[in-house]
This record gives sequence, C-alpha cells and structure tokens, in this order.
Amino acid sequence: MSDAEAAAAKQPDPMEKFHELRDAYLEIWSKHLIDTVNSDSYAQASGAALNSFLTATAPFKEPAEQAMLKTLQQLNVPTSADFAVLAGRFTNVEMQLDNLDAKLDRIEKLLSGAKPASPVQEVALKSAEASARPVAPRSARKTSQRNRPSLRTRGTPKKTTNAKPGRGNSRKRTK
Amino acid sequence: MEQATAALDQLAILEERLKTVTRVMTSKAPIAQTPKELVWTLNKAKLYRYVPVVPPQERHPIPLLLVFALMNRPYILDLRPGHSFVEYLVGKGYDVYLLDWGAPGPEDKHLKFDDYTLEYMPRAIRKIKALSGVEELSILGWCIGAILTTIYAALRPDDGLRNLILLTAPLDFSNKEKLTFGRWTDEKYFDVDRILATFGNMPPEMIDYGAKALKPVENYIGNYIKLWDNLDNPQIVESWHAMNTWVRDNIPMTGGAFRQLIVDLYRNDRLMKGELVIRGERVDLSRLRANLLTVIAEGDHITPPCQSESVLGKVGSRDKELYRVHGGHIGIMAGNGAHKRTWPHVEGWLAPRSN
Repeated sequence: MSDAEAAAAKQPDPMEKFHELRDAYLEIWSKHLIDTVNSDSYAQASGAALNSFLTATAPFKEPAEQAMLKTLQQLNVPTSADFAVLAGRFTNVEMQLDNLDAKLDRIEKLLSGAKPASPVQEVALKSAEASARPVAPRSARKTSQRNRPSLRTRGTPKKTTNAKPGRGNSRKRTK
Repeated sequence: MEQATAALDQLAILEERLKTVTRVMTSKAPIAQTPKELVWTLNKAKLYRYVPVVPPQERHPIPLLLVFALMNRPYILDLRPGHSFVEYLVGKGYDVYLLDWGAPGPEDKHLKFDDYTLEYMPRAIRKIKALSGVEELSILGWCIGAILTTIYAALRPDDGLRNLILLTAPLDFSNKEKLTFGRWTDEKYFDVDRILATFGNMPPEMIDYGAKALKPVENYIGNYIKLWDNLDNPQIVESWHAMNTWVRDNIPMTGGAFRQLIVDLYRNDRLMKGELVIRGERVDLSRLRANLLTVIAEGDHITPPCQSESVLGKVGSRDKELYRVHGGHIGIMAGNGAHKRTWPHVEGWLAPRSN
C-alpha cells in the first residue's frame, strides 16, 4: 500500500461520528422505552385504549351483524355461521377417515407379518386412539358397526380382527 | 463539473438503495425451499415429511417432529437455502417431519390446547410412526409449540416419545415481575373474554404489536436502520428480506387457545403448579419421562430464561440438559450465528439418542 493510499484509508469517515451518535441515542431511547412498556402505568393505559376501542365499536358491531344476517337469509345465501357448521362437519369427516386410516395401517401391519408392538406400546397406541376418537352420533356408530363385517369379507381373517392384544398373544407372535 | 458528476453518482447510488429497500419491504422472499411432501392433514393442520438426502443406511432411524407456535408460520425453521435448520437436519440424516398448524378461521375459534395436544398431535404422530415404521420418535417444540409438546409428553408418556427438545419454552409463569406480557394481560387491565367476544380469534395484528412493543426501538426503528446501513452487503439484505417476510406473515391464534394461554398460564401458572387440566386429565409434569433438552436464549425478551429453567426440576426424565445460548427468541435458531452454536448443539445431543 502506498503512502497516499494509507493516508486515504486513515481519513475519518464523516458518517462514522454520525452513526456513533445515532446508535448511542437509540440505545438510550431503547432502554427508556423498554422500562416504559414494562410498567404498570403502560399496561393500564394500553388496557384502557383497548377497552375504549371495544366500547366504541360495540354499538356498530351487533346491528351490522344482525343486518347482514337478515340480508343473507332473505337472499337465501349461507351465513358465516352456516359455513362454520359445515367446516366442523368436514373436520369430523376427516377424523373419521383418519380413524379408518389408522385401522387400515394396523391391519396392513398384521397382514404383512410385521413384528407387533410391545404390550406397553400397544396400550399407549390404543389410549391415544381412544382419546383422539371424536364422539360419533348414534347413527354414525350404527353405520360403522354395519360396515365392520364387510371388512372381514374382503379377506381379513376373522382371527386377526378378533385377536386381543394380550401379553401372552403378542409374545407368541413375536417368537 | 467534477462535483456535478460526483453528485449524479451519489444520486444514482441513492436511487439504487431506495429500489433495494422498496423491493425487500414490499415483496416476499423465496422461503421454505427444502423439498417436502404433504403426508397428512386435519382441518387446517398439515404434516410435511422432508425428502431425505442421505442414503437409508446412514440415516437415524428415529424420526423427528418439529412443532412450532400457533400464531406464526413454521417456515422460520426452513427460512432459506443455506440457512435452514430443516435443511441442516435432513443433511445430517434425520427423517424430519413438520407439523404446520395452519391459519385458523372464525370456525376454529373454539380450538384449545386440548384439541391440539390430544386430537391433532396424537394423530400426526400415529401417521409418522406408520410412515417411518418405527414406534418411537423425537419432538422439537419451539415457543408455544414447546408448551403443546410438553403437555402432550406429560399426558401421553407411553406414546413412544423418546427425545424432547424445548426451545425458548414459556412454561413457568410464576415470576410476574419479569413477564411484560403477563403485566399487560393482567385481569385488572385486559379483558380477554371481551376481546375474544369481539374478534373470535386473537387478531394477528394485535399479537404482532404485542411482540414488537416489547422492544419498540429495535423493532420499529433499529431493524430498518440495520437494513439501510447494510444495503451494500447482499448477504445481509437477503437475510433481512427472508426474516421480514416471516415477521410480516402472522396468523391469528384461536380464541380458545389464547384464553388458556392468558388465564391458565400467564395469570394462574397452572402448568407448573400441576393444576392444568386438559380434557379432564391433570397435566402432571413428573410423568414426562422422555430425554429432555431445554434450550434457553439468554437475551430472550418474549420468553425470559426464568420461564424455561424450572421445568427440569419438575419432569420425571432421568436424562435432561439445560443449554443456554447467547441470542434472542428467534435469533438463536434463525440468526446468523445459529448454524455455529444452536444447531450443532441440538444435533449433537439428538444424534446419539436417535439410533
């Protein structure tokens, strides 16, 4: 590096001082504002602002919703509540499909002669499935019971479907 | 003449800088690029499996499930190529799954922790077991995802969970002095039922404001100054762009879950007290027996370290470790130093426990 280049490199950047001052200023402000937002008075003020907003919008919200509801009903158009119910039904159907998927997985596993899960895992799996299973209406339960024999007729051995995951059974199968 | 030329040059540079700022602030960065396939869905939730890049004989047999918070997109774990935790894990031979909770609609406002932990998670986990052919798995939960995984792990200890990694987990709400969110949502000032009656779900704008207002200068000013100062560095600009894309992409939190977060956890600290009840079952942390790694961000302003430390004394795990990292709530996993500190430590802990 020549002397001229070295001198140029040593020249102070005019913006450097500005950046230093700016950063110092922001740091002070940052600490001050963090203390402010972490105070009870800020919590009280923000809570009051939120309440004011909710109070101000409340008189308009319900009449607007009622008017929209009436309009949609007169036009025979589904409301958001209808869509919400429909979405709930779809989710329920998805869960039923997921339950079937779980059963099929287990049947496939048994048919392929895979090593069965240990008794502890089997119990855990069952309890997880039981907790995951949504409460189906009586009509749905009847339908699923009606469908059960058809699974057997499709080729699943009766023994397999009726087999209980008892400790003794699973050990025998493992051997 | 020379001065005029120099001034024109300066103007051209300024124009270029402004164009870059406009681009990164108004467009979406290409994120979540690691190849994956959708393997399961339920309502808005989706389970993805990342395509392995390591030969089967070199892979770890125990799959890993990633569970992120409810009110942010989970692609922070797969932010951009070369800077993705998921990509890193897949490269290390893990069978990685990601549970994306999705964006809840008004019809989901009643969804609670109960549904997420005992309806969605067990089903997703069953699918993982069926796909991987293994009866055990590891779970990594981050932020509220860590609350959900902790509850699940305590309620279903025999469901095959071998390893549990908690990142910046807000579990202990006893130290009211250090919890700014707790102060804001105190029942004296914050009427959670009235808010949820108005909005149904907690609006993302309010959640975003809450997170940013904890450090107002850094989030509203410092962040943009950092961009302006580094506009000549394409690497920093692209990193900023990707992070800004994620920060702006907020989603609502279901009303039921938000109410539980405020009332059961922030106000009453029911999880640590052993009083939290999920679908009639009391969550007893001593039943959590999985190997446990808790990662704490020392500079975390959203989940202060005091919220994650005490869980180690409550769980029944024999193999447990607390790891402290210098950084913030998101920075420890998605910041520039994450691939040098947090990722290798998490992977180093998980590897011998995944075989």
